[in-house]
Amino acid sequence: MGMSSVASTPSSGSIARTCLYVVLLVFCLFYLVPLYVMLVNSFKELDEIRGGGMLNLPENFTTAPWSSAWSTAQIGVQPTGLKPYFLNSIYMVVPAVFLSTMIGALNGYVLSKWTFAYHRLVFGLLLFSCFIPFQIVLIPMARVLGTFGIAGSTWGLVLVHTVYGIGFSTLFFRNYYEAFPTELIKAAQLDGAGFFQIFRRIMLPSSGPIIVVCVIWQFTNIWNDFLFGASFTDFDSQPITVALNNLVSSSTGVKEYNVHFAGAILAALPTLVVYIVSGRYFVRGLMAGSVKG
Amino acid sequence: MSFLTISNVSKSFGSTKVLNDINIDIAEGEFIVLVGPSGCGKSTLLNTIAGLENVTDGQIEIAGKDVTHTVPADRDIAMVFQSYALYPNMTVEKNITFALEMRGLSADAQRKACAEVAETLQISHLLKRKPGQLSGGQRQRVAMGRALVRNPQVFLFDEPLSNLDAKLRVDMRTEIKQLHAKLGTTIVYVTHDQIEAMTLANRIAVMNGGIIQQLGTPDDIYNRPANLFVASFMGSPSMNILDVTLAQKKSKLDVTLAHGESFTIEGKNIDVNALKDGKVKMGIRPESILEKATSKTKNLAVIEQNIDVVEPSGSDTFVIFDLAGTTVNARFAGDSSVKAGDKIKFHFDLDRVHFFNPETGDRL
Repeated sequence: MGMSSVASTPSSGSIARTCLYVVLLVFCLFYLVPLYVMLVNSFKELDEIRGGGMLNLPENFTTAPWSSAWSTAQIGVQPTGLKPYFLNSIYMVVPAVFLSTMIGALNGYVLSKWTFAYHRLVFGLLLFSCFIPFQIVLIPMARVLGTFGIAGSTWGLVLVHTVYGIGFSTLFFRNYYEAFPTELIKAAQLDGAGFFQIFRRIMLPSSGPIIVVCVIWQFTNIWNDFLFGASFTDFDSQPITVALNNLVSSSTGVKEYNVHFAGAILAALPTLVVYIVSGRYFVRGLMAGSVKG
Repeated sequence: MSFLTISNVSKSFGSTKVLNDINIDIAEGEFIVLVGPSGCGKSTLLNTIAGLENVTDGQIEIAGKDVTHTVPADRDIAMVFQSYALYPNMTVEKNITFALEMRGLSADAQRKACAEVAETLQISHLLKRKPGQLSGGQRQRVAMGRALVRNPQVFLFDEPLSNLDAKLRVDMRTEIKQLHAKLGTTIVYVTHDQIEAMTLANRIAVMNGGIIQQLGTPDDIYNRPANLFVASFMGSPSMNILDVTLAQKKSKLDVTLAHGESFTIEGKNIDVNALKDGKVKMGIRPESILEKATSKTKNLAVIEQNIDVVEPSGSDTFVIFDLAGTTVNARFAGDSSVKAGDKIKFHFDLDRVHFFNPETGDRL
C-alpha cells in the first residue's frame, strides 16, 4: 500500500522539490553575492578594482588592504587602523553581554519561580522596553551618563547596552524557566539551599541552551549597534561600527575600496564566528524557550 | 504524646478555601496517609507541613516546637516528590549529598552518609550517573535516598509511586513499609490510591473539599466509614449505595428496598424518627453480597436477579446486576461459574451493611 502510493507520484513530488531547491538556491545567491564581492575585492589592488570586473577573482592577490584596514588606515585624524576600535568593541561587548544575560537570568528566575503580587505587570513593563526605539532614549540617557560621570567612556556604553538588553534577556529566561519544574526549587529549599544557591547550583547549570540564545542575541545587537556608539563615546572609546563609518568616510584623496571591504568584513567577523560556533544551540534554545513542556 | 501536631490549619488562595480547619495529632513513628480525590487539599496540607506554603490560619508543631512560620530548611523534614525532583545537572551522589553540603558537612562525612544510604537502597552502582540515565524505579530510589540521608524527624511523601508501572509500584510499596519498620521515623504520605493508603498506613485521613472526612485506622475507615464520601471513596470496586426505607420495630430493623422487597435485621437499632419517612442510603460492599449462604451470617437477604455482566479477574469474579434501577457489583470467588443472563440468588449479608443519612451523608 504505502510502497505503491509513493511509487505512483514520484514525478510530481520531485518536480516540486526541484523547484523548491532552485528558489532556495536563488535566495541563497542573492544573500551571498554581496559577501562574495566584498571578499574578492578586499584581496585586489586598487587599480584592479577601478578597472571594473567587480565579480572577477583577484588577478594579483594581495593581503595589503587587510593589514592596512587592521593597523594603518586613516580613521578620523589618526592612522591607527581598526585595531584599537575592535578592542573597544570587545571591552564593551563582553561585560555588556555578561551583565545583561545574568540580570535577565535572575529576573526570569524571580518572575517565574518567586512570583509576587503584580509580577505579571512587572514582566509586561520589562517586555515593553523591548519596543522602545533607541532614538527616544538618547537625550535622557545622555543626562544619566553625565550624572554618573561615565559619558564618553566604554563603561557608559556597557551600562546603556546592559539596561537595553534586560528586556529581551528577561523574556528569554522567564519563558525558559516557566517550563522548569517548580518541584526542583521546592526540593532544593527543603535541602537547605537559599535563593542564590538555588539559582547558581540548580537553575544556571540547566540553562545552557537559553544562555546561548541570549548571548548570541545580545552579542549581535550590541556589537552591531551604531547609534549609541556614535552618541555616547569619545574618539578613544568608539566601537568598531563607528570607526568603520569613519574609515569609509574619511578621505585622503582616493577611496580605498579594497581597504573598506576588508574593514567591513573585520567588523562583521566576530558575530559571524559566534553564529557559526553556537548556531545549532541557537535554534535548539529558541525551541526550548518558546515551546512549553 | 503528639509528635507532629496540626491544629486548626486553614489555607485560602484568594477566596477559595483549600484547607478548612484541619486538626491531626500524629504520634512519633506513626505512618499517616492522606488520601482523597485530586483537588481535595491533601498535597496542600503536605506543603504546609513542609513549609513550602504558608498557612492562612492555625498552627503546626513538630517535636514540641512551633514551626508554623519556620522556613522549610529549618523544620528538619525531608520530602519525596511525585516527579522525584532530582537535580538534572548533578550526579546521583551529588543529588544525595546536596542537602548535607548545604548544611556544611565535611566532604568525608558526606561521602560516608551517601555510601550508607546507597547501600540500604541498593543504588551504590549508580552514584556516578546523572538522573537522565536512570530508569523510573532507580530515580525513585535516588529520591528516597536524598530524603533518607538527612535522617530527618519527619518524612513527607507526595504521591511517590504514581509515576511507576503497576508491578514496580507494588514492590516499592512493600519496600517503603519495610523501611518504615526499620527506621521508625514519622511519615506523612499523600496518595490518591486507596490501596496504597490501606496497605501502608497506621492511620488514614480521608480528605475531600479541604476537610478531613474521617481520621482512623484502615480497619475503621474500611469497615466503619464515617460518611457516604468515605464509604464510596475507599474500596475497589466501590461500595454499592441503595435507597432504602427503614422502620424500627423493638429490636428489629425493617429494611425495604426501592423495588418493594423487605428484610429484617435482628438486634440493630437506628433512630428512624429523626429521618424523613425513614428514607436512608444503604451501603453494602461487593464482598458482602455472596453467591452462597454461609453458616456465619445471621441476617441474610436473598434477592433473585438476572446477571447483566460477569467480569472474571482471576482471583475474583465481579458480577454486575441491576436492583431497582441501581447497578450493583458483587464479588464472587474466582472459580465461580455464573454467566451473564443467569437468574441467580444473591445473598446480602445484612450484618455488614452501612446506613447513611441521605441529607448529611453521615453514618447512622
